[in-house]
Amino acid sequence: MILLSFVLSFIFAASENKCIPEHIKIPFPDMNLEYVRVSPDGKHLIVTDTEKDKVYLYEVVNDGGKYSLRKYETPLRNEAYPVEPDWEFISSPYHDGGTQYFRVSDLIQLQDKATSVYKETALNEFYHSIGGDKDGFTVMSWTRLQSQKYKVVEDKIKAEGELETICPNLMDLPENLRHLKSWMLSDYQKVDEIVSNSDFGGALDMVMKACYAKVTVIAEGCGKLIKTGKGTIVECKENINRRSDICLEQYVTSLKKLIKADTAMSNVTEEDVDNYIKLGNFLTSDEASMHILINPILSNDRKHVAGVYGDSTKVYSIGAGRYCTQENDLKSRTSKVSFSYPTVDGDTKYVTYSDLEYNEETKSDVKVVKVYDLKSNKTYTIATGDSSYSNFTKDERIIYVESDTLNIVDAHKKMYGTCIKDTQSSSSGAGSPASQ
Amino acid sequence: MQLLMVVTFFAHASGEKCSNEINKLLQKHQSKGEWTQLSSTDGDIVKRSPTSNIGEWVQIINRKSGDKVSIIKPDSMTDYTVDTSCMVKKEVSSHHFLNAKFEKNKKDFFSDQDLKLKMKKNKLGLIYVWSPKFIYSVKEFSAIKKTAESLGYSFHAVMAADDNPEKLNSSSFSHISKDFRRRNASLELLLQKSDLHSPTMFIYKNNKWSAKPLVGVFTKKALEQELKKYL
Repeated sequence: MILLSFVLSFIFAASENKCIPEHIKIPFPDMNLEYVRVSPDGKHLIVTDTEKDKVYLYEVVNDGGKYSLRKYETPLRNEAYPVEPDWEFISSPYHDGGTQYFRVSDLIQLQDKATSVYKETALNEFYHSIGGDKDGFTVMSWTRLQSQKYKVVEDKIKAEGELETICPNLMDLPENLRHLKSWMLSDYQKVDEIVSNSDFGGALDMVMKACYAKVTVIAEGCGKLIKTGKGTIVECKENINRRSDICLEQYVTSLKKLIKADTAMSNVTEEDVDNYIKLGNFLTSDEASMHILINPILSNDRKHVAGVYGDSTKVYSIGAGRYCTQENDLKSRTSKVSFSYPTVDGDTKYVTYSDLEYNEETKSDVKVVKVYDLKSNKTYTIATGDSSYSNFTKDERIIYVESDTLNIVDAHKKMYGTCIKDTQSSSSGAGSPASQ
Repeated sequence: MQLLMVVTFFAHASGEKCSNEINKLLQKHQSKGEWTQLSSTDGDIVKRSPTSNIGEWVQIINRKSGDKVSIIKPDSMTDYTVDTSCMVKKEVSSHHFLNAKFEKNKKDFFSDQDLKLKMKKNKLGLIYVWSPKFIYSVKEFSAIKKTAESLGYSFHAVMAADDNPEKLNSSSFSHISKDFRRRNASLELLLQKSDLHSPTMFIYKNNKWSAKPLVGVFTKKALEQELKKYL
């Protein structure tokens, strides 16, 4: 009996210490792709084939150590992005007039017959990114770093609040607004917080909806006039623009009135309000896209943002008022990064990305997959070659596609010489998720 | 790699000491001193700067055993090894920094020579590096071309070096003409990481770069405002 328990405990200890395979290679269809999104358990991939203009969902099947891929057709459009951190939904931008959200379970079951469960028209862009936690998720746009929060209530997606700019303090203001930079860094946040926490949003919404309803009426009327030859497109546009300007003026007047009437705003001056409106108009304008992070991406836990600022890629934490504080400088202008999933302690430890490295032996540059440790500021090279952008699984494997091969790499082995423990080798999938 | 010539210089500076020798080399090769940093596969820090000559860059690798200054050209490389006593050793090789595949079928590739011709021929221009893998660079192609041309820019597009021209058969790419499907073989563009993300745009005026590369897609109004700066 003693011997048996000794043998069992030995076997148990041995299986506990078993490593995941150091590098799994799975044949992958040859296609035009750059982005491969990987589910936290490494079991599913979203891939956009830009040549065929199609998005596929792949499942990594592990049949006793023999790996293969199962393909699911989807109705998703280019640059579909998963709702992190649990992949319950996938967003599909520029899809029938907005960003459509599909349930992953529907995609697996119904494939290209799956239908959208939610449509967003206000935030609709390629290269958007999504982070989330148990309370919901946030979608961040590429061009202006505008973000929208959502909650999942009784299995349904619901938008929460208004569009908000992430990292307004990083905005390099254009010349005509540069004098507001110091006000923006000191007082913008204060006014923004008061406005965000007040009932203004609802009241202003009503004012604006009524005003823009008139714009819609004018537009519809215009359409009829053009059709019957009684009006021109130019006249029509002028009318619509004039009415829209009236709406904007009405917005400003209403906001000022509401602020004046609110006791919480007693220490906010008229000048503060003017500055707030000027900056608000700029932050939501087309021009703003030239003055902020390039290649931005939101972390999976929505607490960080990364992008190229100045000459290099930097990682920021998002604090109060959505102000951003620089935490890391990768000292190189890299590809768009991908964040690791937060650990059980809530830490986001790494980013992975593509960059160039100089090979001293061949005297030429090579494309490499890299990992940057956000705590130690150390960089590790995971693979060399022309590959897709890389992504993490929750247990910190790295997955990327290189020509016709899907690569699943134990990042710990490459970085520290240790290995990721296999806790779920018998199940389907490319290994195991870390403790949830 | 064919060794053409080895010349040795002697210098007598000391200390961080060899900065005089290094600065002389940088000056001689007209370094612009606009340094960017990358790693080497050996773990060294590599610093690079463009020079006043399109398609020629300087590179410095700092090592304990001494620094190495290299002059990179599309078809040759000159290495100056500066040892701890500031002795400078020069080595020139007919090394092709870019993949040798660019040397075959030259008409399929966009070289530094092509870039220089464009910059000489047009006073003001925009080079648009796109990739079929980055759908934004394909979908926004016509809009950006139109915006640039409406402001008087000469527009030219180049496909990223590693993309496969045989995979452009779908209608998604039909709006991109053959001339704009030549693959990027320009050292000048590639050393500015033109292919790491698409689109990457380069603006030139009077035979010189006017701005740092513009990475990504911008709204029409924002791009117009940016391009108007250089008119």
